[in-house]
Amino acid sequence: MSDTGTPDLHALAQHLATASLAVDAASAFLERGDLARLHRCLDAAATALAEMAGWIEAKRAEDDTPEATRP
Amino acid sequence: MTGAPPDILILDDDLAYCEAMAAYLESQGCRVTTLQDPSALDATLSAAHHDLLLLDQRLGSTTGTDVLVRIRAHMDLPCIVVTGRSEAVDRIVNLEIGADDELEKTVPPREMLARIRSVLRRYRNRAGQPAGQVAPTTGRRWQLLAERRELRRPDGSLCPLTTAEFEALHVLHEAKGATVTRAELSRRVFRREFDPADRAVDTVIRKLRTKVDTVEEPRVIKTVRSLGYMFTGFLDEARA
Repeated sequence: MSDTGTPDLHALAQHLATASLAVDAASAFLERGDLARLHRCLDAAATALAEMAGWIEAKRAEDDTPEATRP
Repeated sequence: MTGAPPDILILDDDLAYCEAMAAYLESQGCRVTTLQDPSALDATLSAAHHDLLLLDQRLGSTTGTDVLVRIRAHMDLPCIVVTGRSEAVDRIVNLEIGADDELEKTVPPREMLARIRSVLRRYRNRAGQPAGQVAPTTGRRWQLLAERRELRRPDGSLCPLTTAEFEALHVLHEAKGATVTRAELSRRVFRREFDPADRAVDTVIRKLRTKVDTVEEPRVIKTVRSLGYMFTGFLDEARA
């Protein structure tokens, strides 16, 4: 969240980039059969996606909040 | 990638992104070192050779721009600055002060890899040797002899400077990569307060550039628009 309580687009972009990199890396490790690294990358991707889901929830909550009651 | 796997150093205070980037680059055959703390950068660079630095623009208490200025003062290390969002001013400043490329974090990983390869190729072609080497050591660099008030070229020959040119170069070099304002240059070189209508500082810098710019380092004195100048070259200072 930013100082104003608005979901921070920078944070979203960061999570998106992390997920994208982790998925591409996972794909390469899957082809090589490197399961330990594959698991680590999938964990990282899942965490980043969960953070993005949290961002979307926060944005929805903000959109649903009447203007007058916003911080 | 062809040849020896390149050593990439990633400086980014976001651990998750850093690790994902490291995993991706490793999956593509790179060797990767990650670093979250900018204050540990100098020690990391001294401890091992790196072919390229991937530098985050947002680093908490500092910025990628500040780190880049410090690096460019003493190292010819290929550097790509990674920004979180498109910030036009940061991108322009970084490219002006010596970033080899600028990328947004959201570019597809394959594009990021292609850009890294491109920068590495450029350095290898330019130098005919692995990128990321520290600037030539004493004896092969320009030398500023403070007491004799002389500037010597890397081959030892004298580069004739006027008094004002010597003073300006000395002041810029002392600033170690930081911007020196026109006002400060005016005070220290010409012993007078700066007058915006007075072009003496700009004139002396222009003449100095014609003497110290080389093919290898074509723009060692950078103009910082509306502010002053910055020295980003390699120079040894000696007392005699």
